[in-house]
Amino acid sequence: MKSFLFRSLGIVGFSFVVAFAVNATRTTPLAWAADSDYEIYDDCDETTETAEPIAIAEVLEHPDYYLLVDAREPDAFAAGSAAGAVNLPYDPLFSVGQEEIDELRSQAGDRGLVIIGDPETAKLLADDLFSQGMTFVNYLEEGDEWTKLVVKETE
Amino acid sequence: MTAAGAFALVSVPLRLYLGGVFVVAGYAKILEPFDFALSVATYQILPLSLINLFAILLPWLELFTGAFLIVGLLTKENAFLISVMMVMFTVALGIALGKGLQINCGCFASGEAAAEISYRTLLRDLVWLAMGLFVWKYDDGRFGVDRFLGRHRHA
Repeated sequence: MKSFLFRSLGIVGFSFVVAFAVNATRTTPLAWAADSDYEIYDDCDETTETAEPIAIAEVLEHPDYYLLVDAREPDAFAAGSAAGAVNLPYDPLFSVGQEEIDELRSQAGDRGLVIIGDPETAKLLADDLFSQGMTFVNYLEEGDEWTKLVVKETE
Repeated sequence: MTAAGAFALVSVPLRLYLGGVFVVAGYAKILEPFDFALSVATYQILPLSLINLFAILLPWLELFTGAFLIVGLLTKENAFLISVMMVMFTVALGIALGKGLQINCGCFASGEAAAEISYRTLLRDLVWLAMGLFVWKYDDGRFGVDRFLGRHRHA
């Protein structure tokens, strides 16, 4: 039994010697110990809730209930947007910052938010704001039908 | 033919199959040591300081034990080592599945090419463990290099 274990250990030792030797001769050897954590991505359950769409008829019927937020770039917003809309250019790669959220809250008061602009971006911005605790936020279910709202030239 | 002789005969195809599995598994990991280290890390079992060392050493042990098992050199010792590794893999898989990790097995390939772990993977490993134990117990060295080294034990 003892010789059996010695032979087994011999195989392990032989393998390890070869392993170290080959690793040392690699052009980019693997360090014996990692110097920083590995970035591990694990699929997790979806926890982020999403904003709901709202009909344009509802917005037109109760314009005082809602603050329109235009998610387009400033130059597009400057070229014309819905009356009373505020501009919050949104890049889906980055979440809206807390400072911008606080400003939106103060501008909206007790009104809900309706995001307008490119339909896809508008929905993403609405979802982003909703996931950050802004519960009264919607996007138009008709997509770019918001252009039927009173459009004005912005300053 | 005695029962022991029949078992020794049965162990030959098992030995060749299991040896082949380990040669392929070891070779794939040797080709991509960084990817294999990341696979080891995703199991979240080993401390950071041991992950790379494990990734350097294990593939060569798999390769040599598999190759030795195929040619029938130190068959019992290699079957024992393969069984120990299969216990280790099975425990690691069980822990990962128990934690609900959705990760790639890293058994034969790493990164995107690797298959995601599941209870089928666990079952497969248990079957391979049983094969390893069978070869360890019943192979008597009559069909391999051991015979020419005088390590053949007639039942």
